[in-house]
Amino acid sequence: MPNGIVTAPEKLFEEIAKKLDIPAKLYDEAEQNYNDLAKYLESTLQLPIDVYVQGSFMLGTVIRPYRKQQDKDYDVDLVCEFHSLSKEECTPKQIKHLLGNALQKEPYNRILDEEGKRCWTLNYPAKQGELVGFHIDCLPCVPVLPNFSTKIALTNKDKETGDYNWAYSDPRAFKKWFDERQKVAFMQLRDVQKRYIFENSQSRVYNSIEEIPDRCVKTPLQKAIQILKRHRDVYFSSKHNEDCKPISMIITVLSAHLYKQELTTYEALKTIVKGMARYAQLFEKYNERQSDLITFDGETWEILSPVVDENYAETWHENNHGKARAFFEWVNQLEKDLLLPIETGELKNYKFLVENSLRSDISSSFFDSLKLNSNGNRVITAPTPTINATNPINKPWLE
Amino acid sequence: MSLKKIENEFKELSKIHTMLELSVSKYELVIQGLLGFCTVVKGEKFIDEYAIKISFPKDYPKQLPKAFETSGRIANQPENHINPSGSLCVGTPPKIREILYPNYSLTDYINKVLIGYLSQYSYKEKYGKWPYGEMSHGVRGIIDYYKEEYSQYFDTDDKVIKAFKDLSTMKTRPKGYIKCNCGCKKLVKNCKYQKLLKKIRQKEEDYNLYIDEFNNMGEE
Repeated sequence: MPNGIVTAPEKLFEEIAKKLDIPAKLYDEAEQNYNDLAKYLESTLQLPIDVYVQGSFMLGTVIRPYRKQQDKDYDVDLVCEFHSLSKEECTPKQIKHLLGNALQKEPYNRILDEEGKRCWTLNYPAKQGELVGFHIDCLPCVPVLPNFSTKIALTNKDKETGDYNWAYSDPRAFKKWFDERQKVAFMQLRDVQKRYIFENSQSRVYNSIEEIPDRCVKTPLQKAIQILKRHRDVYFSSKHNEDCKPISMIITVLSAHLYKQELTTYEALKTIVKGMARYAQLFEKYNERQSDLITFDGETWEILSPVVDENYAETWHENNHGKARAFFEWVNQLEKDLLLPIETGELKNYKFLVENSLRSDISSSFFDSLKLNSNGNRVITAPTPTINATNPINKPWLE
Repeated sequence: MSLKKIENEFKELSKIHTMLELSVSKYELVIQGLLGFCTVVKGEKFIDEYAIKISFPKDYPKQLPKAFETSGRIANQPENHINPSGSLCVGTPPKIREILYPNYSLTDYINKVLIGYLSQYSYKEKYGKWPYGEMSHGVRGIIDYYKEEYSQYFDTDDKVIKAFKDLSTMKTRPKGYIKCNCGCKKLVKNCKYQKLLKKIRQKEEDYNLYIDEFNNMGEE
């Protein structure tokens, strides 16, 4: 366990997060797959193309999807940006099929799914001897203002009419914003974690600490988002309102806003969940269009993207605020399942609650070794010599 | 004074604080791990431990060490006295130097400076306020420190600022047998003000830095 993880709840949540994260071997496999794909596209199309991951793979918040009470294959979102083309020169349909046609050839045609709304999906089956495969969603797009911004124009196919139009996104700017939100914690944890990986890694072998890429460093924000997403998946998979499941982007954006550079996953999760739960009072007390994370004016909801002009909560008001209600019910349940037992000391069923709400096993020996005690107190493990520390008195100050 | 000395001292110290580890690199010396203590704050006994990391810079004590709490227990908020970089503001630099002067020993840093801060934090966690108050942020706190510590000389901000300006122009070894120009009508070697300046200079490595900040403050 890297340094800094001290109390029993802190140890527990680090362990949970570790279990939810994608295993290094699978990550490498996914990376290999999309790098091969990028090479193939470039040589087939004879066009310069930028291929990069977006979404949870890029943010380091990937978890194994869980739907209909089952673990599913990993989803990888891949941006395929034709950076020599522009949306003035071609139609969204052309762009969509430029990529589609390239994928309809050997060997990719065998794993290519039907045309999606915005993507082409490749279904990589599980390798022999393994249980998990990948879906790689390839998102064809062109830059909006090449050399000026990282914003992309992507194609959107209307389900009913079959017409294509442009939509906009900016995954690179989002990544930059996200990194900024966790920078302080990242800087503090980087060296410790890299040293820990260097000394303990079995799946990947590094010759030096410098060789370890930054993406191997996991901040408590990333781990808390993984736990939140997993709890959400499990919670909604057994509910009748699975279509009200809050999208990952909402969880990611709210968490990143609420995160206060805590250095352990438990503390980060506490801050984030309590922060989210506070907005439940919006039902009673509107905050008409203030610069708040979630706003509700009595009619419509707003959770804004930090980088593009997009409201993630656009449909929250539909069906008598079904999605808004579902979101706050879920947050409330998560707090009950994971956090309140520690705070109140009602730990009798805690192991079951954690395992059941995350569908993730924790070994009994590990759980018992934590010695979670009934008042959630910190267990003091270091010697405590008597020290006269207040003569002279040294009052705290700030630079 | 060198990091070698800290390294040697660490051997002694780790007999008491057994859960601390030392690592030395080209640029710094880092001590980290669990630091436990039993202290008395305002008459109340506090037994506690913190996960900490202290980094001693290569040019210690010219630069003071930076201390961090690494478990996130002390939330990164200004009211907890955490710098934007995440390091703990354990006290004003002149106060820390006063505590450490002249040996700048590791034991004093850990036991008096750091545990001093941490045990006050334990108190704050329990009662919601700092037991002995807190210093104003930034340069304001430094001026207040001098006004508190040398109240017989410094009753106004200007006097502190002037002293630092005098310090910056003071010769390394001032001639003692000339008339002092502070207005005391004594020889330099008998002037109390000159003695005070010398005393501050001995302890204060950063006085040049403060002068700029004092000047900026005047402009605001």
